[in-house]
Amino acid sequence: MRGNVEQILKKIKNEVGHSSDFFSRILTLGNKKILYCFFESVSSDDKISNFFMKGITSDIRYQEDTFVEDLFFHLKNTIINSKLTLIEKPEDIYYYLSSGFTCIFVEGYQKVIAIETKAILDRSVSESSSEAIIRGPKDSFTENYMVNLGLIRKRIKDKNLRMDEVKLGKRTQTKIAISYIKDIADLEHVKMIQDRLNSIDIDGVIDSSYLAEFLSPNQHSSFPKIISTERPDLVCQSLLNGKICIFVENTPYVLILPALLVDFLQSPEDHYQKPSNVSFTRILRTMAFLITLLTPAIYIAVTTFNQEMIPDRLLISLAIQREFVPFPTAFEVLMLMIVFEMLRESDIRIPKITGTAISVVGALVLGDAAVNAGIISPIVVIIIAITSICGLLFTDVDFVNSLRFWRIFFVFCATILGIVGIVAGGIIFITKLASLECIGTPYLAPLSPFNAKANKDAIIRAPRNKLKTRSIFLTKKNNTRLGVKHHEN
Amino acid sequence: MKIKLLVLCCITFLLCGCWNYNELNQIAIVTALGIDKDKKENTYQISATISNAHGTQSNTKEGQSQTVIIEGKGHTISEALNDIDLQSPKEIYLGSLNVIIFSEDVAKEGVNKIADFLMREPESRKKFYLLVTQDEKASDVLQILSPLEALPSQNIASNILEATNYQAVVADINYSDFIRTLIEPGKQPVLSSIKITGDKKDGSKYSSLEQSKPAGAIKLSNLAIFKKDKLLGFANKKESQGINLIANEAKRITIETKCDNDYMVAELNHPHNTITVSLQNNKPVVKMSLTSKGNITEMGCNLDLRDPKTIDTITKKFEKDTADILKAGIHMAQKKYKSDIFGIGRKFQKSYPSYFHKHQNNWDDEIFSKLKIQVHVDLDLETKGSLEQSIRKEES
Repeated sequence: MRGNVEQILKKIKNEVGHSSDFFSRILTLGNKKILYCFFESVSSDDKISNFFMKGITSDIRYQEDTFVEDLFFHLKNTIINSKLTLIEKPEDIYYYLSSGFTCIFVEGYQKVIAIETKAILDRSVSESSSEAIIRGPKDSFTENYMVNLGLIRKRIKDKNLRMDEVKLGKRTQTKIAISYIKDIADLEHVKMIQDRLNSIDIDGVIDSSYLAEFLSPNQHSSFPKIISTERPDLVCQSLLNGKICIFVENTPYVLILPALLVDFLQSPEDHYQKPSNVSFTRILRTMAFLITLLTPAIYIAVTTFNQEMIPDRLLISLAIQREFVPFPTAFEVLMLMIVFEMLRESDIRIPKITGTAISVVGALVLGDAAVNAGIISPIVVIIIAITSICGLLFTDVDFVNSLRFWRIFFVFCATILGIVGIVAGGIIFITKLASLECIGTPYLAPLSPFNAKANKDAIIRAPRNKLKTRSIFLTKKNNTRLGVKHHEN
Repeated sequence: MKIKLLVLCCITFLLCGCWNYNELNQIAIVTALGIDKDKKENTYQISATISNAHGTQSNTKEGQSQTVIIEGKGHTISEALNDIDLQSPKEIYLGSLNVIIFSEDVAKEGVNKIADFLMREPESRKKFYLLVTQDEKASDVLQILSPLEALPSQNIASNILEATNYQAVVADINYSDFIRTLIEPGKQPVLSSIKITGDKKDGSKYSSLEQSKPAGAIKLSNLAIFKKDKLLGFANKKESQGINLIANEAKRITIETKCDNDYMVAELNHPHNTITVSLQNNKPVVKMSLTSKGNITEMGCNLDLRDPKTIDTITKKFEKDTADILKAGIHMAQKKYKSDIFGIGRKFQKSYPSYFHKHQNNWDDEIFSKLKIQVHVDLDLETKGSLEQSIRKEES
């Protein structure tokens, strides 16, 4: 920036307006004026005083005459700040100011010295709230970008770990890191992701989910094709498997892609427990997946079309329970499903203090009063309860909501055509799933296309000494996970 | 193109015609049918037990039900069922049929018509039991309530299952078994029969359930012997046991035999009978050999059971008495009813088809009834229960 410091200050003030958090001061050192300015809201007064003010006030005052000629270089070399940067382009100044840097202008010099004086605006690393586990590392990502990268870097001390940075968002200037291990991950996939990210022209990126929509643009599906997690251990597992992770500044959710259907039936904790127990848990999750998807539909089909499939005693019991219910079965089921979804939604949004009131009302109204009033039959309450419980086994919000969509789809199929309808709906469902792909990886892999080796860690988990290779669907090179040395032990 | 394909798919589903939408509270679930004959008017009188009657609303919440019996009349089964439908506000649903009871008259006249109707009926499950009443009206049997089972039809069905396990008197024969026997040559069907004990009228009242000794009860009785679709008559207990032993229908049977002045009883577990047929000089020879393991369950006589020789003699006695039971069954089938209920004809059909086809038309009357059947019983009394000797012997 040219001109004297007063002019510069005027220019900057013009640009940022009279923001209440903008602070500037002009100092005179010898015969030279310097201007320093920062945003109070994102800067730390302590740091500015310690790194900058102390230096110039203690040092330069006594040696005014000798060093004044070279004040710029003197400042550049003596300010104790590891992230001292020289800004050459004037438009970058505002990015640095917003990032918590203090900019120092020396009269007569074009370059600007920026020193990092960020205030700590982030919470510290804490336990994950949305993906709880019993055994395993407890830390989770925060809103601080560097901390998030650090949580990965400290786990994978490999020189091949890459964290390529992209800046996105015209106004938010959000930093985004594409992280992968260079000699494991498929570099074509990395290139594809980089290209897609670079082609985005958006005003702001507030959360990583903004990017998720851009990364799988062509296929409309309610099923998530990207995992978003706040667990560093899951990110590391994925990186080691050859997946690619995307970190976004200011959000604790990191994207992992490609995501497969089986990924949503797994938990990072699966790798910290005994393989046989994990296999059982995963089979439970698979069962829950089917139950939560199909139970209401099967109930409708069986009670309104295919009564002969119900054992006699159960049929009589069901018929008696339905005797005074004034609505058709399908309507009854849909009604209760919608009420449950509303209850769940309200449970998420409501402040924690009033939360118990909701569950009491929900449980009483749904469970007891409605049945007693004869509006719904008890068995439908049981059906919806089973469906909901099984749906709660999955942590990914997108996945749960997508199950909800398909559940209602199956209910419609069953209402129109009974069991035949469910079969038809099932064909549509499987066709849809099989047609999905995320950056070239089929969504149903390794089940379809089937691969025996990759299936060792899909629906079941084989013991660790049997998991010798990485899934070929994720990476084709450097496939060995378990070396000979370990094997002989 | 895509839209055309989609429309085509939709049409396919709509055309396949499973449009049988029925809400559960629009159907009357029939769990038992009783079929009687009105001789004067020459009509069928059908009583249908409908099990999802709700009674009071308090029952509804607990999922309990009361049963209602609706009667209909008609010259054909369909007409009679339509008559029932007219009396019921809900659609008659036969998919959960548990039991069909024929009165003796209906069975003697032949059950072909009824069997035909039920086979054509797509709803029914073909696994229900068929029973014949002895001396009673079928509708009366359906009315008897049991405090041990909520539904009268379930009462009968579970009674049959339980009884075939422990008593060899009843045969566990369902509708599809019956039809198969009826259609295939070389075997005649049998069915279990049913009786009412106690008071008919009081046994059908719900108040009877409040007594610790219900006024009436139903009791499974001896086998009914058929020839083709017509009832010939009933066997007695010993004959029924013999028939079931030969047909391998008995899972367990108790045999008592005399010793000194008292009785001793043995229980045979899973007796297995093999029938071997052969032609010797163009004459049919039939051998039956029954093997079974058993144990002594009652010992009324003063015998030393520790002595292997005693066991041998006891075993011989039991073998003889078991053979008597088999012979009683065979004698009845051959001489009294001339009906090949053992399926010996079918054995010949498989081993000697040309011989069987030559005599197929008069098999029961000419050949079966004159067959010489050798009976061999081989028992192995393994245990004596928890007691070595009889109590009397232990005392001395």
